[in-house]
Amino acid sequence: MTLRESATFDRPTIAAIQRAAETGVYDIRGWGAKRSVPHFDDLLFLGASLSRYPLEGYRERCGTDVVLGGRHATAPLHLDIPVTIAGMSFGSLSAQAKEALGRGASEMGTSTTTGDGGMTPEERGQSRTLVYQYLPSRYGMNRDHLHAADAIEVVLGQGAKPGGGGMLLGQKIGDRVAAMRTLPAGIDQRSACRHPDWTGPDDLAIKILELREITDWRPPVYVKIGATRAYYDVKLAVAAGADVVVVDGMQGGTAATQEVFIEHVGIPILAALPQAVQALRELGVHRTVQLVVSGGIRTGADVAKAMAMGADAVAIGTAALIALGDNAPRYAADYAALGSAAGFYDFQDGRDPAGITTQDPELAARLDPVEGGRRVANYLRVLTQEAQTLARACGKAHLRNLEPEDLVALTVEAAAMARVPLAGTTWIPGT
Amino acid sequence: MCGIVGLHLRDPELHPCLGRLLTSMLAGVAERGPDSAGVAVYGDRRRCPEGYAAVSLLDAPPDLPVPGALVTEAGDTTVVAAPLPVEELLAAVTGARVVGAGTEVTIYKGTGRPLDLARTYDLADARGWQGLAHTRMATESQVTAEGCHPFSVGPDQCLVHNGSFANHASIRRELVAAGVAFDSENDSEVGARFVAARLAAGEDLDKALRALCERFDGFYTLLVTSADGFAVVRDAIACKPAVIAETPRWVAMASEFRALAELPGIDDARIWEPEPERVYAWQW
Repeated sequence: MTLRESATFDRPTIAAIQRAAETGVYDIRGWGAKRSVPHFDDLLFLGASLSRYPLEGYRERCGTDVVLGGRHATAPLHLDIPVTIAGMSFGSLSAQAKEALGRGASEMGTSTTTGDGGMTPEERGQSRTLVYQYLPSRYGMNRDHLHAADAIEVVLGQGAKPGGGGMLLGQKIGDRVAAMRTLPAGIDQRSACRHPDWTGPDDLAIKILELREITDWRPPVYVKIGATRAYYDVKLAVAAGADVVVVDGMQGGTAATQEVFIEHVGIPILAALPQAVQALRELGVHRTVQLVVSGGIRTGADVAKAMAMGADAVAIGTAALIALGDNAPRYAADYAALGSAAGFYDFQDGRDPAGITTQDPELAARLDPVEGGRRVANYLRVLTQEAQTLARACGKAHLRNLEPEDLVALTVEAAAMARVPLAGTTWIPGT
Repeated sequence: MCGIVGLHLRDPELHPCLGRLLTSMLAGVAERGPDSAGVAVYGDRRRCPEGYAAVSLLDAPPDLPVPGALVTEAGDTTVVAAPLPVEELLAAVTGARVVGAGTEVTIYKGTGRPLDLARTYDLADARGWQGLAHTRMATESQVTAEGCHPFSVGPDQCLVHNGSFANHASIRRELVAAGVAFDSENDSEVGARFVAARLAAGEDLDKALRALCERFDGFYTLLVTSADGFAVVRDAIACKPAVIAETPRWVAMASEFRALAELPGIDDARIWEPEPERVYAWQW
């Protein structure tokens, strides 16, 4: 007799029910949605052939620079590449990891971002361009760090948990993390799901003006949203005064929260991006207010596809941690001891064998910030070169000249979400 | 794939020969664009008399309500000249497909073999002080009269293009959002609309084409003409061929030298290949 597994009650579902029954607590983790959702993989580029001409990779220029924040800020960011490092807190990450991200980003001429819990001197010192997050929790928020920032990112939500706050387990809250957040060590910390200073875009506009006044209109102000009603949220972010809008899709992975949240709230970046671009276009500010997207960016193909769909830049989180050494096979035994495995470890419990998502001094010491920075820079370099390869194939002398007309979709779902034609047809579902 | 030729005659003694010279130039690039061909003639007073404006129309309706108009048909193109200001003449032909308008220029477009079309347009008989022609091998838009160059979207302006723009869909969207209307799906029309918007804003050809180089990606050799200008520009790689020749009597450009070979005094002309992303503009 052949055993037949239920599609509804498959083994992970059974295990989750059993775990819930045994412990009485819901599961908390990072790593973003693990389910399969329509993604950039469902899109393909139309390379040049006879009707268009490709560019030669070895000698013909394909620019990668981008300026972020020129709408209102007097000191917009000039980045050499359109791939930035997303916000991840000191607390969730070790100080070594934060420093390494800063080193890698700086080597490649791009920005890195703080996170819930404030700005560390290591990170500031090693980051040529540092975006300072202004978050609902207000952990670690202070005026000095606003002044030290090259840009300010007002965080309304994250792709992993739009509408929700975060969770940092007590084992990751050492004395230094606790001191920066002015909260007790060793006790689980929840981050707020909404900021107490605004209840909507009207108040947010006032808050943004306040931040501009404090910083003398110098640094750009980003507004970051988790992707849900992206069309409306992007319009409201622009109305509230954002220089840059950051849209984080549901695959966004480094934020820790309930499993049920990660898997069931928010929409994929593929679906959110065209909504965001439509909103910006309708307001006449596409390319004036820059759009940064994140949530599942892994390869130069993802970078190029996001830009072709209308993004000005992308942000990476999970991929940057993997570049640093997260889930590396050399720690297989350590992962096994945690009941996980290399390739499956989802950040949360604070005993990261790679020394990245931990506050344990011994584990954190495993990560050399210089070597980590080199790895991050290497990875950013490859992402950029891959994106340039695709852009040149499409005959573009700059990444920003990629456009939706360069793309087709492999599935009807992706065609409808991305608003590009199904491959081999002129059909865009819904238009 | 396309062929471009253009000729600006400085010496009035040559004005009666414009059509003959332009026809020989067109013959030199006919194989480059066997689909269709378009021509612009500046200053032919039999086609657009002094004090008249002329509009060039495709598939014009038989009864155009323009009193006193001089109407000539040439294949798909109908040229209507009348002693009216350009705006009034345009208003009078509302509904027709306008492919050119001005007080100097008459434009002819059609599909078919270039030299046959030259006869249809009676090009050899044309007189005037400036002219250009384009032979087309369509890339990503249909072989239709509308898809033919030159694109003339501002008064007495013409743009002809060899190559293909790589980001024209984005620029088209921006122009549409700014209220610009388009007649065709052709990428070259995006270039023409872009330049026309710049010229309308008061820029000269040199500045407008520098802006085009900044904004447009892809491959292009462009010849852009106006009532007071003649300009050539190529992309950063100078992918598509171009040669310019100049004498005290004329300025000419073509996709290939052979199209210039029969011009009077070519042996003594200054002849050069235009540099990438450098605007060569003559204005007077």
